Amino acid sequence: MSAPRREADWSPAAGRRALLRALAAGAAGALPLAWIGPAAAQEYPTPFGPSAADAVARMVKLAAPRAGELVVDLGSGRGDILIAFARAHPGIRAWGVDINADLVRQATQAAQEAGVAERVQFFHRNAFDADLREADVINMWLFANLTRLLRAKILAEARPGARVLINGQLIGTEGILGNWRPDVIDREGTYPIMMWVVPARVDGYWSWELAVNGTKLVYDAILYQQFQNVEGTARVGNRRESFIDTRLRGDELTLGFDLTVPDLGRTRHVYTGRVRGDAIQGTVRLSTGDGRKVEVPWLARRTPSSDWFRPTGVELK
Amino acid sequence: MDSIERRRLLQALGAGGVALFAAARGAHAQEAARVLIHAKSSPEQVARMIRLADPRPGEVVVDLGSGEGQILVEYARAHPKIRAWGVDINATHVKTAIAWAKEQGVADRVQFFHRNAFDADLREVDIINMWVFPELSRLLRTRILAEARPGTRVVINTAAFSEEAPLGNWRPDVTDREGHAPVLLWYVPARVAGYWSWEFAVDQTRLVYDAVVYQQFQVIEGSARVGNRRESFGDTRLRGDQLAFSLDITLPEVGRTRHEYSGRVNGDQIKGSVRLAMGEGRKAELPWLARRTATSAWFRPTGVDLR
Repeated sequence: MSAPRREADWSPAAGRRALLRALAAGAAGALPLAWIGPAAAQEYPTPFGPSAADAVARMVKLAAPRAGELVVDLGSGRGDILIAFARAHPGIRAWGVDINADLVRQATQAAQEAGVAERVQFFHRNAFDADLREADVINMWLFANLTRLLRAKILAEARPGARVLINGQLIGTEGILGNWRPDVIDREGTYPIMMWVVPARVDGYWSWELAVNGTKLVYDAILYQQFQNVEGTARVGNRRESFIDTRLRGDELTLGFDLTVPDLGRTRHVYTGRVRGDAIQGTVRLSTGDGRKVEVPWLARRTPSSDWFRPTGVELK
Repeated sequence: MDSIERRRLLQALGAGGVALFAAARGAHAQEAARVLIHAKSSPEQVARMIRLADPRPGEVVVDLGSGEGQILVEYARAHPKIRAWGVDINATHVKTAIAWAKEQGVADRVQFFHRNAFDADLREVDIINMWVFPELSRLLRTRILAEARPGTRVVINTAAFSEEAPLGNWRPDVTDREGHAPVLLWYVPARVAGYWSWEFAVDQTRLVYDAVVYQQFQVIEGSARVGNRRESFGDTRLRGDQLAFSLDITLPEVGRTRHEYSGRVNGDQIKGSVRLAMGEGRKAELPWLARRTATSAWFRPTGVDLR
């Protein structure tokens, strides 16, 4: 296949011809959708190509929608992905948007023929105008630069825990959402299927108390967040330590912490909790060097400033 | 620590002291800091730290864990116009450092305090040196990012620590691998994450830009919207308060235009200039003033008309 080169004719007609040629030729991975370049991405609809049936099956499996969930497709084309979701999971609802009115009509008809029209709807709408607040699963297969731009909308609007699904066919790999890297990559087929989980916002100052062995301990923590990657530190008394084994998946946060606690000695903390805006609620399991274990409730609250920074002094004990 | 212990420590360091340092890490890092950290940096490591930090006249150089004062005294000797202060948790080392600064004739510009590094005031400093356990430098990172002004340089000597992420996911801006252990340099980044807006008039057309910026320390990503068109930034760079990025976007009435922005971040403003390259070889340079906004018109409806 003769892949169009950079210095190709950028006129609308030439761009359209090149796209159609590429699609007709099966557009094997050598020609990513990214090729068409930024200039054309918003001038033309992303060319429509149906997803391979096995890829759709893998996407449905990876997203693992639960009953009652809402699945969204940005650039829904002829509707094959959402119809497959609806057939595999009778308890879900779905809607898709597409910039091409003709494809929206075809998708609507296909949903009717498949007998899922009461649960699957299609709208003639710009993906940037889709309301993602209620979505549980967001599927995208668009120009790479459009996908990257839609990231801003997803991060600003989708709720923590929403899953983003991208079929890597033709549109690139892990970097497709920039520095927000996939949480899961399914490499079973010819092309990877990637999944991201929208992270809760945990960046900032937090504080909580634990009563351990009759002693009240106050924890002042600072968390740094880069999408789903979390780093941080907490202070108890005059001691500060960094968190270890951190994990953020949607609104579920896990933090490990090692601290010398009065009377208990070096104590491993494993916090697990659910982030709810300005609170994190869950439990902490404490285990001491001599094998004692205890599990107590954990309730952290966001604070505008942090006692982490208050003076420490030169007495290290 | 008596002189025999000290000799043993220095011998151990000479013979690959990493094992000794490692033995004292983890649980005891904050206690161990008091006794171990005063081991001397090799003179060429110190020279490389100073060269990398490149202090300018009038700047303030700080050492967190200043030990016997060797590093700051060398800074002051190499750069007669700087001022410097160090803190150490060990009172004996502080006394030794003060005596050393006097002996070397730099005591008027170099001071040492018996103070916890977590209590040092970093608001007015230009260069922060550290040669401490990575566990400690990672914790001190919090204080630096919260308190030091954008552009402050952080210099870390990694000698005796086989560790290249002493500030965690905040990666160095510059790594000097010339000597036996890397010396690392960071620039404290300005805060640019969030929503920004600015406007220009090009060919009598008023153009409004609405931008969304993501930040991971000095790594910037972002996009801007003009009219109904959105594009991602390219060639982003943030060093201290200096921000630069490019934007290729189709402007209403003007056409495809390359923008090269560079400016200085000052709180909720960015001031600088933009070079525009439009079609048919037309170029322009305009002043650029961006303001932080609470919400962004980036998200306002777009519609289905793609032109």
